[in-house]
Amino acid sequence: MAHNLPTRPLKSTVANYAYTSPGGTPTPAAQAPLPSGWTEHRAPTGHSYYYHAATKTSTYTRPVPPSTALVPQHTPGHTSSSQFPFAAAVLSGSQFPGDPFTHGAPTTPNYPHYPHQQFFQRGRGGGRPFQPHRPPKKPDRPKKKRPLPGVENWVLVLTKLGREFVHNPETKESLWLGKGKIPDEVVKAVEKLKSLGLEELSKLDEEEKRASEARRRARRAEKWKATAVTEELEEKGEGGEYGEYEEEEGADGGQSGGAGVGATGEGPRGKKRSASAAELGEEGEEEYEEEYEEYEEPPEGAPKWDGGLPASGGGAPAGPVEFTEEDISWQLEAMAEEYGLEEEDLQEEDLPAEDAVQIYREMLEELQPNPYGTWENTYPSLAHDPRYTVLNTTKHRQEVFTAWCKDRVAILKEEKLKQERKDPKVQYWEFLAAHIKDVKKLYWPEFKRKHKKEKEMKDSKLTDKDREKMYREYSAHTKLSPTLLENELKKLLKSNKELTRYAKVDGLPLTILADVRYAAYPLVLPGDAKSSGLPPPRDTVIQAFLSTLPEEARPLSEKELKERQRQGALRERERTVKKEQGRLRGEIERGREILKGEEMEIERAVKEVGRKGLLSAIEAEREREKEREKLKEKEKAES
Amino acid sequence: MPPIRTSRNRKPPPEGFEEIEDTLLEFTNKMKDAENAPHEGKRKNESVWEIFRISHQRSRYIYDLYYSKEAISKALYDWLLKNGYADANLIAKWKKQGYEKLCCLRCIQAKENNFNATCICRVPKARLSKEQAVECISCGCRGCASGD
Repeated sequence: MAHNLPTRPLKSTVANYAYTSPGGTPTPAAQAPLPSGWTEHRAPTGHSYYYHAATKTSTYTRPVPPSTALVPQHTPGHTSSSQFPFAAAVLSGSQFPGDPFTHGAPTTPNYPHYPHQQFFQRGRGGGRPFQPHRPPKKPDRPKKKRPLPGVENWVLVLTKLGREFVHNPETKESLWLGKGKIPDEVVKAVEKLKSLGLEELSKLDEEEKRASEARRRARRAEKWKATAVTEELEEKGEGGEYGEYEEEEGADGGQSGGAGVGATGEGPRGKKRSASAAELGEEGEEEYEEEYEEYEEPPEGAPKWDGGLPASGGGAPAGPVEFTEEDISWQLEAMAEEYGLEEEDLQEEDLPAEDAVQIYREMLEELQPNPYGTWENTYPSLAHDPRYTVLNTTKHRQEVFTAWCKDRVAILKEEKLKQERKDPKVQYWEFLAAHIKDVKKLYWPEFKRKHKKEKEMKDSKLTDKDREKMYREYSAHTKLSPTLLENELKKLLKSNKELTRYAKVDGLPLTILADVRYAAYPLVLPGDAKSSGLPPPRDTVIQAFLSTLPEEARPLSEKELKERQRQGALRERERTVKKEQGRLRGEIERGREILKGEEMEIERAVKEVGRKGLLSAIEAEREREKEREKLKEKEKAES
Repeated sequence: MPPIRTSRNRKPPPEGFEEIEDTLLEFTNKMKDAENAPHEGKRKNESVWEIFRISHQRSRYIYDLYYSKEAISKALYDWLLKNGYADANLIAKWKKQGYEKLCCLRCIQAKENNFNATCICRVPKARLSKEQAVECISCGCRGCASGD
């Protein structure tokens, strides 16, 4: 089959008329004969499709002569028929006389106005240009199923748009309520159901829910598993990439529902097809594709219009087979149908965002990945979990993971703060004590080599030098005689000033715990001390020493300590205040003296200068000097 | 002559290094592998791509630890930068708007290129035609524009 397969024709659990099972195509005898130019082919998925060699059109829906094709404007907007009004009308005429799509309500007030239908009608009138980028509307879908009391095999189905119909899963018959030939007992049952109160209805719902819950859970787990595996594979392929490129992994059933909605949704798919056509290297086809994208109307009555995207190849059905997304999703759909899955099961991708994040975080809580690790290292271990795919993109998953890591690290930090850190020395002593046999017989380099993988040997708080020194001390102490050991320990205890009579054996200060004389004391049980020439147990030695300490060295309670501290602080304060005061007083005294001196000087000056001013004082000084000189001369002359 | 620092006399790294030690060791091993990997059959540029990639990943790891996970202290972060576990200059660029995902510093060196333009990996995906697969010459980046 060289030409591409047409799109999956329908997605409906209720009126899956053409393909009840992958192999179950309706017999050609029950169908109208093909119009001229059309040939029937079989797709790899098992269902048949039709190909028109002249127009290079392929479709899943069985084409009919143009005379019957004028009916479809009156098809109701239910799932399958809304996607394929043409086909539904055709098929309903020939195959399903009881189908709601024939007898249904064509003009209900909430009847959805699908874009493709406008297109259809406009096409006939040859009207305005088509606007290709209208958002695709979701077709109507069954929303709730409720078994009818009293009537076997019939269920009342409520659609998303609020319409109701009854459905018989065994005969696959569906009838709109209020229209058509509904059996009397069914009508009665429906009335009965509707007359029930709200409470009873909810009760019924709950019962049904519970029944379906177990079933659904099993299915969901399976499905998650399947998707998790495939996604992991995808991601592994992606892992080598440099930047963070996201690929939407949304080829699941949820998407395909909207994909088939008429011509508006066809943009990207059209391109994809055109790419594949280009690969084949057939120019004519590309032209055709362009035509298609412009939505040119096929000639009157030609059954080109089938909602899917029929692309075609050479002609004879031979060559490489293309498996498209639609085929796969169609098969999934068919499988779901076989298992009896409900519509809700297929819609679980529509989880609200917060719930999805919540579920994802729960998974993280459970699996507890390393919050200090990288995402690249972490996600392979997460991908096995079915909950991994609740979030659609890897980017989103990574974001939530990072947020979780942040919270987790904060918690870990708090825990660490609460936990008392052991002194690295004490830790190392304990480590040596645990390997006492090695310490006794190995040299330091040997010991180091033997235990280089241990955490204590790699602890960065201690240098290698320290470790070596401590090792030597320890091994030297193991060779001492018991009495010497005891004396050493007592010496250590005596030298410590912090110890009081009330100290506890298991609450000794760090200065003692980190000392080799305490740490290297052999571990002796109280019973076997005297018998085998070992020193008395460490605890008894310490206890004995503590009891010899003077009585007054009682440990102060917190209150007393605080009081003492307060008094000390007060005394200190007083002392500083006094000092300050003395200093101030001294300064004042000094200032006063200086002032006095200055005053006296001024007085003297005033006396000498007198009232005549400075000049007279200077003249007087000069005269005095002259007199002195004269006196000197006189003395000289006399001598 | 400066004192030679060995594992015997080195100052211990700041608090919290133990938690990330294993991951960093993994990066170190990867880097060693990449350095020793054969270059046959590779283009001249291609042989260093892996080195760039690992260096970028390690820088990103430390950047994330400090800025988004807030898992390491400032002291440790500085120590890591000082000791060459992360590229401080690259991280400095990541803090700037428009450079949040920058792959390497060479890719924004416009002057080294023929037309004084930045590397192809800096061009947003939307500006490129669909089929164009990008692999930049300097570090093998496939696109590091912030909008992608």
